[in-house]
Amino acid sequence: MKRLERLLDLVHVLQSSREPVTLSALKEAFADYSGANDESIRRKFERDKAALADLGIVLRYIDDEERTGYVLDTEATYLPEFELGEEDRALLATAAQAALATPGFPHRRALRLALAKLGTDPADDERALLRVGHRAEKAGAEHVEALSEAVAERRKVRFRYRRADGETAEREVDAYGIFLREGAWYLIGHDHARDAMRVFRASRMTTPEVSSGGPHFEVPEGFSVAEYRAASPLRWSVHEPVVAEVWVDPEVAFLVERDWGEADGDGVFRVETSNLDFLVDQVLSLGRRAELRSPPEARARVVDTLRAVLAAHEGGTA
Amino acid sequence: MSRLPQDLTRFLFLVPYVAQHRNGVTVRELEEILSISRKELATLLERVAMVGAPDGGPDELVEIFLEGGRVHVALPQRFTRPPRFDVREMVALLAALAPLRANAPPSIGERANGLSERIAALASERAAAIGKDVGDRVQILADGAERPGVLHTLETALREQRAVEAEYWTAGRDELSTRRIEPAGLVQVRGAWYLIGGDAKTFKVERFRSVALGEAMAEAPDVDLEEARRRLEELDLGDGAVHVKVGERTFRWGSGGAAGTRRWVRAQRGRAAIVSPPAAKAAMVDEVRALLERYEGHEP
Repeated sequence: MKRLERLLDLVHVLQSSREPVTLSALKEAFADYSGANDESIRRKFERDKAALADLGIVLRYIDDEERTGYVLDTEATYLPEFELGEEDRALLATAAQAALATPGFPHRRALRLALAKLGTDPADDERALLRVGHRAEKAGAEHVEALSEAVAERRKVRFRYRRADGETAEREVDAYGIFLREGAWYLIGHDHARDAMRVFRASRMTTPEVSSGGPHFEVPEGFSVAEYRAASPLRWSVHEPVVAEVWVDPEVAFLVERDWGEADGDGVFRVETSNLDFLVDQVLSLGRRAELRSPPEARARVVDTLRAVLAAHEGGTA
Repeated sequence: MSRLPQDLTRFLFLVPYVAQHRNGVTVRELEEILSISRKELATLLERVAMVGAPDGGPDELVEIFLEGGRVHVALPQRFTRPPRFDVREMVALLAALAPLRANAPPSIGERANGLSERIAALASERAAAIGKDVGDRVQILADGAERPGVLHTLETALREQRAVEAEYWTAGRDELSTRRIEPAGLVQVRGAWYLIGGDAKTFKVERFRSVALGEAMAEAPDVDLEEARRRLEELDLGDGAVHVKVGERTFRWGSGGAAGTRRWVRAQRGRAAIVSPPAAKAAMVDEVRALLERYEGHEP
């Protein structure tokens, strides 16, 4: 008898029985559990029990005055009765449809199955006032499932990485989490070479290799991607923090106040960042309405950026 | 990796799911839900066709069979419910809902939070023990810079079918203007919220400097929100598309996102350039020259 059939039959037998089933009774019923010595049969049964537990199918041993043996804990195993209202169903369908349409979404199969369990069709998103779409870049999307596996199993990932400035290097990272932000998938984790937390864009990775086995590390207590990322990209750990001074026209200051805090009376914000490139992008997106005033290396970076962009448009280096 | 857990999961889902449909379920539907090929489905059905007690009679078997392109099941009152959510299913559902939990219009956020909690309560013991931890680490993030007060007012306007008076910054023209908008719906794209107006115009919510409720509208605007979402995702690749060269390749960008295009091109730091139309290229060059003059012309 193959293992799949044996496990299914085991579930069936335990579910059908009104009384706990002893291991002796199982030995009699299943040829696979007979013949060898007791210890090896017990080990085989324990392996089967563990395999079922991994799937959420819980076998419990009962030993009281009246009964002894194994039962299938139906309460812990099977989906309880539940009801989703029309609005819940529509919201879930809207969210699921957006996730399923996102290149790289790592749990596509599981999501389809889960929706079917809930009796929700992802096409059932007829809600008047809301639509959602994530639209991820296709480059790097093929890495996301492997990265997600590394995150779930706490494994290391090795890959060649091209930084924004073009420099490439081998990286080895403890995979703490992955996230999709503004159309790009990122891995966040402990970079061994730098001995620090770093963020890596999936589209800049080449052939990530996930180590086998695991778990290989502990995720720092309290770590949560959402909370870590709730901080602006200004706080992403790209370099040591610096404080930059930026003047912004008060008329459009509302665009950056949430990220930068309050300006002083002259319209100057003091922004602490460990990701100067992002700050430069933010400042330049405000055009003539903003000016990065200090430190000098930040101004130099603005000038370098502008010159490179101009050269690409005039000389065609793009 | 062994196929065993996957096949078991599929089987334990398959039997109650099919049993709920008196006329069976089409092979195509099962292929889609189970992410499985027709051949794999046939093999699975063959392997699990006669599940039951090894020494039991035929009436105790779970019989599952394929007939006329549909899968049917005959079962002796067993396997009537699917298993609770496993880790992956729970993480998948929580990840899908996550962008609606943060920075969302209040009632949407509340509903998404409530749903997430209910889903967590439907997970297996093992999934509940480790799923939340993993769920927190696999995320689709919505972290636009919308202010909660603005989202709240817009949602109220939509529910009460009222117009809004708004101060809005048009990034492409660098212009702050006051306008009256008849809201048709809210769309979330790439983690940011957009208001769709009755004339199908789109407004990035974080660019509203202020929003106030206006008068009631006689009827709700008739706008295809799905079309609006698609246009936002594609950045409106209409006739006015901008062509951007990156390396040897040229991409089309929607003219609707002129400021966004320029921002993206700047962020490439010389690795990308707008090539056409000439007006878009000239606007980029003019903007960059003006900024260079400011930064090189004087010390602050």
